[in-house]
Amino acid sequence: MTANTTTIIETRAACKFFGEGESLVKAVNDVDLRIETGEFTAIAGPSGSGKSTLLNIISGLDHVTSGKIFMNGAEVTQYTDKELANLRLKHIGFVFQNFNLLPVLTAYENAEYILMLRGMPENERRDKVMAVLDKLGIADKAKNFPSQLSGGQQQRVAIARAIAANPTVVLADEPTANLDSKTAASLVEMMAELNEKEGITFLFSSHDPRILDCSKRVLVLTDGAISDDQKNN
Amino acid sequence: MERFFTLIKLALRNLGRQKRRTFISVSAVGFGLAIALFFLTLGDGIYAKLMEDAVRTNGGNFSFEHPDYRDAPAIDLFVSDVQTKRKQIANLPEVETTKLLVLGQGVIKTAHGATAVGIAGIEPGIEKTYSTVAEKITQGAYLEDTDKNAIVIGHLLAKRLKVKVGKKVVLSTNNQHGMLAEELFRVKGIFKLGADEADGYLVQIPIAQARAIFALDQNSATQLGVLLRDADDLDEVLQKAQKFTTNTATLRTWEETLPDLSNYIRTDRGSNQVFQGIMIIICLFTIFNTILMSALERTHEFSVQLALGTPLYMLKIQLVLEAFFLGFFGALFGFLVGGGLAWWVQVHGFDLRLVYEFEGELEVSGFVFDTIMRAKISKEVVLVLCGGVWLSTILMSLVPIQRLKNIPIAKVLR
Repeated sequence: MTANTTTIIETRAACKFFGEGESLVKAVNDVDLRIETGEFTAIAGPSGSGKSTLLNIISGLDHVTSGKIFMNGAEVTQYTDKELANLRLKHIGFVFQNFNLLPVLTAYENAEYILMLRGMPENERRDKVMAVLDKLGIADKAKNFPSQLSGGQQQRVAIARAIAANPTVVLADEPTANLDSKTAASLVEMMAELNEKEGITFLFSSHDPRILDCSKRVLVLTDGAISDDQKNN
Repeated sequence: MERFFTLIKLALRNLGRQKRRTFISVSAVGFGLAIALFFLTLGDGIYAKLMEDAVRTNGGNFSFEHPDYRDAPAIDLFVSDVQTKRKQIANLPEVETTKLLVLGQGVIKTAHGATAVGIAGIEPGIEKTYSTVAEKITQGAYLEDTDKNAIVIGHLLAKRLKVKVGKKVVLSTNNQHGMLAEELFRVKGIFKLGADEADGYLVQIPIAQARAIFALDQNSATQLGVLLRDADDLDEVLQKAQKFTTNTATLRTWEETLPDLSNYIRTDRGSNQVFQGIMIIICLFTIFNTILMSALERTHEFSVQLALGTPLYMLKIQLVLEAFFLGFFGALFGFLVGGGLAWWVQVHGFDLRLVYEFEGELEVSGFVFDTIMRAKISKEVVLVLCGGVWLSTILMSLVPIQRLKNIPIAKVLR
């Protein structure tokens, strides 16, 4: 982890409400948050506490009801959809609960997808992707389609896709929720290692104790608001 | 460019992952196109043959006539100096041959009675080569250029007048000056065209004698008919021929000289096109449904792609490419099946008697035509049909494309 850290994500009084009147749901309620480079942070909380919604508004997949979101110092709340798409492409790596690999692309092509969108030359992409797949222990599965991979292997490919392009931050929404405990533990270990050795910033939503134990910082969300901010040593 | 190749890969693989649905869609478009292509080219072949037979027997693809003749046909409305025009028009490379006709009315008489007839003074050598009348002689022989006082008549007329080959008949008519003219002829041949109007009314005599009866000079004719090597060159040749018109010779297309046949072809072709068009539209609805379903069921995938930062325009192109390939394979399938079938019928012909039983000849608007049908494949029809189906399929993708920008990414991925 680098010694000199900078704030890469900041939320100021971020709110996301659904519905109106009596059916108003405050999914994210007045959240102030700063994420520094190199963090390995988990957002914990029970189901429905607003973890995924917070990640969604940080990544621009959803719009805030009020408040502001900053990424690398730039306010992204006012970004157009096109600008948000570009922000996600260049700065954010995603790991989803359901893996969300493109079924018609092989493991290699899935991991390569974002690099291709960014316009990286093919030979550079090949080296980069194979190195990442190798690091994640799935280089031999490069030519397999997602349907030919186990859940753990698919999630490794998803992580490869997320980190191959050296994003500013990896947002992972319940990444171990659909995995068996052994596979989940292995993946958590691997992500922690990537954070330690490569300095990749991770922001999770999870209530998996393994992730919470490994996290350097745990934000506890209750009814959409941060109720606790613990730092683990 | 690499992005584009990736989109092509995605489009093709997405089509491949739903093989059955893709096959059904391609088949639906292909069969619709094949049927339309086959029947439209068959129709064009039938119309072309019908028109060709008719123009060869009558006044050609176009003809020179006196400007007033069409409104009130009369023997004194003739084209003068036809030999000069004939030489001029014959020099055009598109022209296969020219033919002169003297046309009038009269009465034919025998010992058993008399009846009105249409008299056609023809050039036997040319008619023998190009007209279907010579082929339809059932008794005796057709006229020769050297014949004098020879006449060929229809079998119904022969029956009515109770004449046989070799018997004498008298033709009575008024010449161009209104004077009564009569001439004795000997029946050389009896034809059976199959159309009552022609078989019971038409008589043909050598043009020299027709001119003599009607008191026309040897450089005059009612029509100077022009037969083209390729009927599709008509418009081009008409433009060139325009300079040969005079105050006694105007141009008439076959559609003007044979209005009944022209109207029949126009009406029948129109209804055929409408019917085939409806069939193609039905097939296009199938593919529209496929494209829409394919897009709707992949909302989650599109959301993932958008979440990863895929520009919206790339997803739009991806959908267009899928429609592009569906349309391409459908059009290719339709072209191969429909075009192949049409090509076979164009080369080998198809005898309608295998399907329908006819009593007598096949007659349309007083014209008899061959029961062996041949398709006529033109690049215009193939391009318009295949290209139209292909383009329509691509346009069908515009509807699901509009839905892409409204995908609630976070909601779909939740």
